[in-house]
Amino acid sequence: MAKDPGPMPIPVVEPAAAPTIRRRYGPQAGLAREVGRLRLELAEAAEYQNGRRQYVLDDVRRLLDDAEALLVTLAGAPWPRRLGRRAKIYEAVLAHLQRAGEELYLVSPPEAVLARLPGLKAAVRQYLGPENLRAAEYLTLCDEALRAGAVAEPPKTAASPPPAVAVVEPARARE
Amino acid sequence: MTAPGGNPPPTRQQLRAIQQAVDDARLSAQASVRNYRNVLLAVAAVSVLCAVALPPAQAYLSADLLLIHLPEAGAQAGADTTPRRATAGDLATIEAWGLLGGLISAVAGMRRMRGSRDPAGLHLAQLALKLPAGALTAVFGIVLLQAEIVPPLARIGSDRIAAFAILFGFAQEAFTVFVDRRSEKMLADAGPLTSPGEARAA
Repeated sequence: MAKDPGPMPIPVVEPAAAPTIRRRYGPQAGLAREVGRLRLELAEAAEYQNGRRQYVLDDVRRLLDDAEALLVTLAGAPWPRRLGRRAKIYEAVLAHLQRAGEELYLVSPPEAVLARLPGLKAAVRQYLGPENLRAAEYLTLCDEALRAGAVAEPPKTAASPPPAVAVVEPARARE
Repeated sequence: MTAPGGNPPPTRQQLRAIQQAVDDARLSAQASVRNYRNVLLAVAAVSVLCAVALPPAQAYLSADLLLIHLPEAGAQAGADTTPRRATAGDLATIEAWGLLGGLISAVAGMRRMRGSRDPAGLHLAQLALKLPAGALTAVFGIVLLQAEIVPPLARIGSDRIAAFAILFGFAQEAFTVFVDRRSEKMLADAGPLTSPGEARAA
């Protein structure tokens, strides 16, 4: 007769480490939140495109993955290295996120693009300023899009990437 | 579809180009902040080197950099005093008092600093510059004072050098205030290091 093994032991689950102040409120947290926000926009864009312009969606996904990888690398680095290099790495992450946000203009639903325009106008005023000759033109374009309540759609294309991407990708892979 | 004005609405590519122009300007501003921080840190490092090297180097100078006037025992205030060449220890002491003045100035200046999420640490670089600047300004001021080349000021005795050194160390604020103003402007231009999404939500 087999010995009664008794009640099954309850597995001990280690509680997740509480996020530190730096991880919740620092620049790193802000950038990580932005990655999440852009991933949501990417999912929305993928649903809207329904298989079209896949190369743009893949490009955005790769940019977000790279940005996340940079943040993870920074978080795991020893503190002297983190202190010395964080500004440069944050800039690199910001550049990735900016590029992803720019690409999303091409694939997001029109309502999402229009929702960005008030913020875009504010950013044009803040970062380009009146001394930039194109700032007025940019603001006019934003106003026209807001008045029309629409943006002109690009021509419907197949899911294959354009030749420029095919040329650029091997060059990036060599780096 | 056309806008009420008759013009066709802008294309997605046009809107992306606008976003690219904004992003380029924003990234450039962030890079400028980092470069300026690097310049401040380099200047602070050179200032520290100068401050450390000055006292021992003074012993090898043929001309007297500084004469310390010791009050004689029982002498009245304002009476002639005996000058002697300042030693490396004297200069280091003046620098130490100047450092204290610079520290007081830095702490006083912190009240103007807004809470910043600037990842480049420009505020830290500003503070790092003020301390060696205070030490060097103290030596500079005491040398000018003892040389009596500034007409209304007369040379001082060794008993008052520490007070003047602290004062001159604090006075480095007159030079570094330009750095502070430029830093504030650059941080304002760069904006917070948030994401394009947060900027969009503004």
